[in-house]
Amino acid sequence: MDNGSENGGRRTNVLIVDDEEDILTYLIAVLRDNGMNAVGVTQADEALREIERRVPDLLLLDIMMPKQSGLSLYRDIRSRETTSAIPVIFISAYSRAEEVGKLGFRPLEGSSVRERYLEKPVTVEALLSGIRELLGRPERGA
Amino acid sequence: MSEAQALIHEHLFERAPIMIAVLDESLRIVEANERFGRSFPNWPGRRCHDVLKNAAEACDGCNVRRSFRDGRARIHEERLALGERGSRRFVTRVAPLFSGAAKYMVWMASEVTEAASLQHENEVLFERVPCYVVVLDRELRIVRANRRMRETFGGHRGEHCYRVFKRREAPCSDCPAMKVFDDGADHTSEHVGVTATGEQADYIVTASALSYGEQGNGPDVAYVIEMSADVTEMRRLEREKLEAERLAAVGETVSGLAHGIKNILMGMEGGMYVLSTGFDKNDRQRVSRGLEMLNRNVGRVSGLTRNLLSFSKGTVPEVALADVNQIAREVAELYVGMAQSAGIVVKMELGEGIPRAPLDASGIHTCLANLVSNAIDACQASDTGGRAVVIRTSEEGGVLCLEVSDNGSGMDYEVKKKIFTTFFTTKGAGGTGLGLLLTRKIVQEHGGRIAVESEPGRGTTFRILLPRSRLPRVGAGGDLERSQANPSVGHRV
Repeated sequence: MDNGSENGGRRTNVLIVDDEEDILTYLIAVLRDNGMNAVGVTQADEALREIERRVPDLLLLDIMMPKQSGLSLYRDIRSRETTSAIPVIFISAYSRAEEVGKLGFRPLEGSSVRERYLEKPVTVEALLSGIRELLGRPERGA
Repeated sequence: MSEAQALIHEHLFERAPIMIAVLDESLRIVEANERFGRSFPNWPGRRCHDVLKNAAEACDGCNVRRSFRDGRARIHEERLALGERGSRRFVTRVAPLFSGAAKYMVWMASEVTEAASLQHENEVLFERVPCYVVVLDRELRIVRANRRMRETFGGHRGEHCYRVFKRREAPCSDCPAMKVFDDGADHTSEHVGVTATGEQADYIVTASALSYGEQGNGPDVAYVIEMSADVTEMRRLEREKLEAERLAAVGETVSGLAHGIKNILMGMEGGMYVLSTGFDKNDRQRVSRGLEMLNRNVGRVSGLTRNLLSFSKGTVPEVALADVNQIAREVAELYVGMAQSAGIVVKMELGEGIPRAPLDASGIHTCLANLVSNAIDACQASDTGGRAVVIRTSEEGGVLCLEVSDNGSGMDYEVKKKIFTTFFTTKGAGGTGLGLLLTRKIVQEHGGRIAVESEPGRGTTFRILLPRSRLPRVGAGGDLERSQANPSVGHRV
């Protein structure tokens, strides 16, 4: 199904960052089945390279990854002018309260309109409704 | 008087550091030395009771008269008034000096005021010091016990110390007093005893030689004094703290377990999605991919469950004297092949002359193996050349240090903060998240701590620090022979 008509003739580009291949496979399949372009990477530095190549319409971000965590990638993109407005959906196996308590996770000021938090395991419905809320347009099912 | 007699008189009689007077049968002083004369200048021709006590009559039970009667020497203590110096204590000896019909008595008095006050101080110290103090003979029988000791353990003279302190029928295997009797040096060790009211008491004993015998060869210690500081309260607080930490760890474990399972569930959710949409689209490739994902994640649940069980069961640490370098060499041997095939060098920098230490060799082996395995993984996650893992051992200031360094990927702040959290893993499906937690558990059981330094892109150093003073005792948790016969064989979680 094509999602292009709701996006000025262009498909929604989503970048997914998660160190688990199975989760990438899953999320990419869901997004593509719903008419979006999806690219998956397993590391924060790859994600930065991808963002430099093309700023995505949405970032799905796992928090706990080797080397650089999702949080530092998040701070990084929020601090750059060209990427500071990218909507982000955090996907974490910890609850939001746990992330806030243990990791010092703090949404940046004024960023709440551009962010959602989904707790693993993420169902197809939860993912799609999160994207709909964030991008403000209906995504059609496959 | 001959010259020799004059010299003897001059040196022994006049210069002796005691007061000497010679009395005749009527108690009149016929001769006295300089020291006597200094305290009692008006002695010539007067009777002793008149000079010494300013009394008209002889003292009751006068020792001089008794010695004149039976010809025996006598010693007694008395107080004498020495003018400005006030009343002082003396030990006085009277000894007969009979020659034919002539009968004299030598009276010698040495002052003991200072010695007596020292003795009093010692007495107070011995009795009132807030420690358990006992003096033991070579048979480990209590010769003296101070008040705190008597009140707490009810120690009685003549009883064996092990019976009084621990209700034992035989000496303790690590008896510090026996060591002092052997080598004459001080020995300190910690013990757990039972008080008179049946409560547990933790105390640290320092045993020292108190007096030596007369053989003159070897230490030949006749008596040992044991001074014990009670650390029951301190140990109780430590145990409570440990218990609180354990409870907190249970909370961490539950939350960590949930974290691990949620990750796997998401993999399963994904597998289900890919599988069912594969059926919908009649896409065989997608179907088999979905099945693979499901299989893999079912496998992860089984692995997690197995590791969880082995972690919760734990192992009984078997403590024996072990060589940390030997453990390091064994671990390096285990991993050198695997590392080499990944293009990673495993190096050893082992400290020389580190004495063996009471360790659970198998546990420490597990710790080191976990760190080395992590270091190899970190190197594999890094793209730089010349990747190496270094295992170092050293000892400084009584602290054993086992160190594993890598120049691999390093960790950022968030990762570093979570590495000891149960089930935390950054290795995706490759890790259980239990390795470092188990490592920390084992290190803590050895009274040690684990430190980490890491910089993203630069590498990581883990340091296991084991203060010797806090290491478990040999034989703790298992029997010594068995653990010595069972060298460190790694088990990894």
